[in-house]
Amino acid sequence: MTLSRLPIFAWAILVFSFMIIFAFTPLIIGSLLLELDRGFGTEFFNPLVGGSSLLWQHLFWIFGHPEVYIQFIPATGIVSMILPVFVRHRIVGYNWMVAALVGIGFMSFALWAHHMFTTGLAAIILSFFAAASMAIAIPAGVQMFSWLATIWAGRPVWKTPFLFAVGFMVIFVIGGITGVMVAAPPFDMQAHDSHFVVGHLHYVLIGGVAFPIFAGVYYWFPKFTGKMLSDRLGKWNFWLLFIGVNVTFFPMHVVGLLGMPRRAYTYDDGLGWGLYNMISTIGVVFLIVPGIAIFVWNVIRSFRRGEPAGANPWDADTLEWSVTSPPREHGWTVLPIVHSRHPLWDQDDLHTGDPQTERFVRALGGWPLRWRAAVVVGTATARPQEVFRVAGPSFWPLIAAIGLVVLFVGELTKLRWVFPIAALIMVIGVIGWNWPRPPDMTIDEEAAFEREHGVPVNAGGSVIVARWAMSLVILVVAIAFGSLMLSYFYLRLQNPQWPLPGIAEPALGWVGVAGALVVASAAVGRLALGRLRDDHQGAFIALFGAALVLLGGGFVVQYADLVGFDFAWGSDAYGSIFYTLAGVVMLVAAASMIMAAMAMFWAIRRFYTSRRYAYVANVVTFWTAAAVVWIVGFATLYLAPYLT
Amino acid sequence: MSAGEERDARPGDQGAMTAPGGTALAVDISADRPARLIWVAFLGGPVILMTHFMVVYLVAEAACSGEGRGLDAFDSPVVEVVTVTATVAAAIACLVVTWWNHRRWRTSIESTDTAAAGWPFGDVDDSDGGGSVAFAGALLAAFCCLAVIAVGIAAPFLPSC
Repeated sequence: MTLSRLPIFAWAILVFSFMIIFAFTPLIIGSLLLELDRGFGTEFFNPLVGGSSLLWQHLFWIFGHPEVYIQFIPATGIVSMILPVFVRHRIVGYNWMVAALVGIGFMSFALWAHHMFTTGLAAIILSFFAAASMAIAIPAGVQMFSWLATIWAGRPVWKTPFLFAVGFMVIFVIGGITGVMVAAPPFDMQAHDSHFVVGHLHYVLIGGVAFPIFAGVYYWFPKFTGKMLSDRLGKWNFWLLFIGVNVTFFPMHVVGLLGMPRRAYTYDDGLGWGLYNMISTIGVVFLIVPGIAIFVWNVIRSFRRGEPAGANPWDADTLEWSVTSPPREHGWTVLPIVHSRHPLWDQDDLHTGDPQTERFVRALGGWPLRWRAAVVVGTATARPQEVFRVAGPSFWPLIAAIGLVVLFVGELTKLRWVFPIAALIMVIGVIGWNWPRPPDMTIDEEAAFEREHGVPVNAGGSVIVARWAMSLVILVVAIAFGSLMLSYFYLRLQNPQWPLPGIAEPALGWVGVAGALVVASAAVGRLALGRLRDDHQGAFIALFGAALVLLGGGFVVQYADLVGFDFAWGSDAYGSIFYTLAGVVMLVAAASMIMAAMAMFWAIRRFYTSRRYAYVANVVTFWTAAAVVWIVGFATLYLAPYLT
Repeated sequence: MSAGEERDARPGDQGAMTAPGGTALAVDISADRPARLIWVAFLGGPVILMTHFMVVYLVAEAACSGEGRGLDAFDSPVVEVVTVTATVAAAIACLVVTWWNHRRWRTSIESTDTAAAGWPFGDVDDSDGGGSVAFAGALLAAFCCLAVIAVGIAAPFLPSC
């Protein structure tokens, strides 16, 4: 399956996944700073000592606005899967839809400050965010017209999933239009924090997210369970919700324009708000609640004694409908070869292709691999490129997660003595998770498969897949680090003197030594990796050990320098951001040190070879990234006070 | 046999696809130029858009919120000049990416037409080598050009701070 044949839902999930990485990381940093303020005495958000409460708003809304689209984009993917099936027509404007999804994904990160129009931002900044907020209506409009054209070109079958998809379009368009209204600063100044915004967001989130979820449940429930949901109950469910949502949330726009603020649980009589709130209450109690109750009853009833569903009850077009309902754990013994965006509509046989690919997929079905294999295919041609071993089931991730939960519970209850225990559990969990196991195939067996079918096998793990995964980890670290750097410079902008009065500029001597040691360690680590690729085990171990010592040296020198400063993290915002940024940079370096120590442990046991070195390559990549973070981070902390 | 060739050799791998390092370089986007180009061209427009947005916003934020040593470098008319310059540059860059994607798409259509006779498996939508993605990339870059202009167009008419 090439990129251009991916179902729109898969595109949506791809966009959504990257958005999560970019949006949630600043929130994590914002939450870290908030907890440091609340629990550890730092002063990031206290304007009296150089902090800024607006910094929190920025960090929160950099997450908060994309979050709306993080919910919306998978929902549009669901709708794009359902509509073609129920109108019996291919989606109109597939490429336009893909462009729109990616455009929305990017654009959603240029809108965050439209939640802050009333905080006193400069007029030109308002204009940037207002323009971006209005421009995002273009890709959203492209999606809407694509769906409309698909319905127009097809012959609708008015089943429940289709009703919910159409309901989504109607309600979301209303929510989108009010969204463009609040994107205009003059209007937003009036409507901000009023019930108008409450009405808007409910139209967006119920129309844009909840309706597609209902549509998706009605559509895929037969695949999950092998039973059909009742269409008659589904239609009751839809109409009660559709009418109920409008009765409940439309009056909020009116009452908001009449001046009712949001988050008000009561109000004085005679303000003219009573009738609208009464209508909203009627909508919830008599329409939405019964609508959801019918849905719950429909699910329970159908799960127990619903009409049996065949493999493809909707005559749908995508691959999941070619397997049994519910599917077996093992989907295909012989992998499908996809020639179309709608394989079940266009292909008589899912296993026919060019002779080489056909031979390959049949061989995979019959080859005694004895382990969980995955095939990597090229993005443009879909030709098989590699077979590699996927990690099997493991309880270690659960242990690492338990460590994290213990850490958070410890902070919530202020039982901080559990922190080291939690950290130990997490480190043990992650080490156990990564504990190498002997490959399931010998190199001779791998070579035999490759010789026969022309596709390499990597039972010891794929260097390339590992590199992609590590790149994503580094991306997360880079976004977290970038968020902290933005926080640093934002706090700098809020204070005419930096460092704050009474604090001297940091001396530059030892930080230079530490930085040189860390950079040298990463360089020597790379050299060591080269020796391993050349199968010079002794040189690899010696160089890798030397690199580890250099990193440790840099760490110790920097730590000694930091403890010598005469300001504390709780003294003011400068101290808070200085120590927090330094701490995060050193934490990243410490993570590379632990990873490298584990690699050293296994290297001494001669586990790695010139063919099986994915883990070492990963460690060295992370190490290099950590060195870059170190240099940029400490250069900012030590040089910025001299320059600005 | 050189040291490098020795390193690459694997038991009985005459004619094998495995590249140095023991895995297929074909899936390594850093070594697979066509795959890399697909992504670079496809994401070029949005990356330019976001870079432009962050540049104009951060310069305006520094000019309007900041005071103190070094920040007088952002005094008027720096914000207007930077915004207009960055907007013109980014819009042109988006147009170039649009043209690049469009050309890749046209080339793909022509090569698909040529290859169609020899392809018996009846791809209904397309059997491209990234042409469909190139078309989406052209649309995306064109949209980004519009968005860049929309973001920057107010700068000459508004007070910077």
